Amino acid sequence: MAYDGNHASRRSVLGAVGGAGAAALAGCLGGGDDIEYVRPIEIESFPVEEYESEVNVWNWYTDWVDWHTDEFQESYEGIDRVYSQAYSGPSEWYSRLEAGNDEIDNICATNEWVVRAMDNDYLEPLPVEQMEAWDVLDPLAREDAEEYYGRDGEVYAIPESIVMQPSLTYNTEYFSSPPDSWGVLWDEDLAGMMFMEDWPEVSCRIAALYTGQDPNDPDDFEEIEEVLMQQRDLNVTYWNEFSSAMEMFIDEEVVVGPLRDGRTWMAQFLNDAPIDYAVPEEGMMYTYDNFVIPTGAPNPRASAAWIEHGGQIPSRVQLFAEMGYVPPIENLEDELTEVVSEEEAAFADWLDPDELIFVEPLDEETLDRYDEIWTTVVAG
Amino acid sequence: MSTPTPDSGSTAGGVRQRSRQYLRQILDAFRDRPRARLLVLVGIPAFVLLLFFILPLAYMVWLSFHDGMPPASLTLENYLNVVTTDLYLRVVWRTTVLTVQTTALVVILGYTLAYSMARFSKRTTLLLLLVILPFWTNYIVRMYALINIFSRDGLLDWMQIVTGLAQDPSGIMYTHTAVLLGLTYVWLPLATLPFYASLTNMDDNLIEAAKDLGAGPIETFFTVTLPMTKNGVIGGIILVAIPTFGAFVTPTLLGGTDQLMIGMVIENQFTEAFNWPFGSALSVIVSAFVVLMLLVAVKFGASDVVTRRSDTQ
Repeated sequence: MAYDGNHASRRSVLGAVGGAGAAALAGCLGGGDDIEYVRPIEIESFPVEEYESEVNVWNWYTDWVDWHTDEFQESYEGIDRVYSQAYSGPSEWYSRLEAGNDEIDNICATNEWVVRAMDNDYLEPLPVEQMEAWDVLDPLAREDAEEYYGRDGEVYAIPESIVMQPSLTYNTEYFSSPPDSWGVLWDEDLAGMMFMEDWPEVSCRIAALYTGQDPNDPDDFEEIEEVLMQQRDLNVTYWNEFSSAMEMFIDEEVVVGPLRDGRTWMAQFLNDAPIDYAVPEEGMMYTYDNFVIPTGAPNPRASAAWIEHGGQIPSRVQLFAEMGYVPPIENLEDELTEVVSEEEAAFADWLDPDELIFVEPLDEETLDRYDEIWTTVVAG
Repeated sequence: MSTPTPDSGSTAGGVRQRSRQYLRQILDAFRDRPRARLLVLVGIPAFVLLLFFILPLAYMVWLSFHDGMPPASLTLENYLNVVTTDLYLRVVWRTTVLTVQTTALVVILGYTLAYSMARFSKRTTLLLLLVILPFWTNYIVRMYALINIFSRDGLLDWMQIVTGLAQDPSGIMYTHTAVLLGLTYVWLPLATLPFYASLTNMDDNLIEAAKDLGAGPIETFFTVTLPMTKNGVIGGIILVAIPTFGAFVTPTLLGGTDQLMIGMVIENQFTEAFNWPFGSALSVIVSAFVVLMLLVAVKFGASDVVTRRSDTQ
């Protein structure tokens, strides 16, 4: 029931209302350039020499998009307009792809939505062999992308950021040491001081980890439901909107709960809130937000150029500097300390493969069961 | 731009005259052919209604009888799942309770507001403007405003401390009260307007007559004013109850762990669980509830409202 986007700020969610008009306008105007239409996969080299004069981007890293737009237009002369839209939930852009896209050129898409779109032929394969945005990726990210976003030797998405889904965020003043287990969310002494995320996949996966099961393929759904029912009354709320959840940590309405690393970073470094993330012994789940080009994109070359430019190290590092979301690149710490303090750069230390569990797209049966369990839990 | 000549003037006049003739011929043709007139006047809106309302609704009903996205086999399982699973019945019951509470609160507040505007105020235009004002603001923006008011250390807490009502309030966010107040706030203007319209359309002489016959203010209200404005009240109830029953944004943003409404379950089926057939079945049930509400309203005398006729007729 994730109503709001993972990373869109409150400002951006509200801005999306106005942005829709601009994006619609872009759809009407897009693709009018007098150059031959090519599919992105047919682009032979980067930087692209010939490209359309505009690009319509749907990306919820709004602060970064503002920064990148200026840099992009400076590097690519002749890009007159970059229409950007911050969406509040992936279903917004997905429904447009279902209806037959002819306006969106570029999307920042989360893991499961990439797979869903790919399975329905809504995405263009990308010429990753030619792209520096692909070469700079950490091997882990590249392997994950090839495995989950690849079909028949083609890759359909390039990771833009690696995201904890979710982070185990806690108040550093309340806890003398970081909680070492997801079990902290079942600690009755913390009743009324925690929350859970109102998203079946996330909450059920946490419960799976807590009960020692594989969150991607659990074998005892009854146990997951049982522990979530036990946990139910300990919560202040089941949060559904990322900005409000972050505010609850800042206002110290809660001291522990699942969030996202970027939101934790923003609260810690932009709002001076005494919070941090913990690395639970059961493992840390992670996912990616990805650059993709939908089929029907009216400005495919400009869109590919946007990915190539945004996927290079200076742009990726800037995403961390602006919003705290970690770029999945090699030599991460060295790159980050070029633009942020050592303390801020240390925030990205969570990328230890031994403790990471990729949030794999769920099969239909598991998705249904998680949904049933969560509806039962929330209905009380 | 060329200067008009006498010839060009007469040419323009001729064009105008020919246009008038064509128009007159078309109108005459329609006058002589009532079926063609009916086709144009009713056919176009009926076609739009069919295309953008009836067909999507029919598709939703059709989808609700499948066990997956078409082409999939037909089944009644989605409906059986709703009516035989205690969980969904509980959610529907909870939704109904919240809908009744919200509607009752809106009727009491809205009617009082409309009554005071119609009877006691001279600045009705300004007051009406203030009632309508929230509609000019985006729904989500209004919800965030409420979050700031209801949160711990928010405006509500501050007012309680200042007035001495509470020493250490902790906000009402994530509670049933927050959802109830949120829904009431959102739908109050929608009900106030029909209340106000029915009150201003009422003949004041009836009230005077009741008083002359010895009725007190309360008796006059319950025997004259309220029955005479019944249609407006039922119209307001319909306008509030229907959207409240399907609400999902307000309970999602303001509610806590106990505020699951049927609209939230439906939204989840379409956007997260991707079980569109089951979401469609739930939607059909909600739609059936709406139709039932309209039928009940017609039975209890709101036929004028439903058919959009004035109270005074």
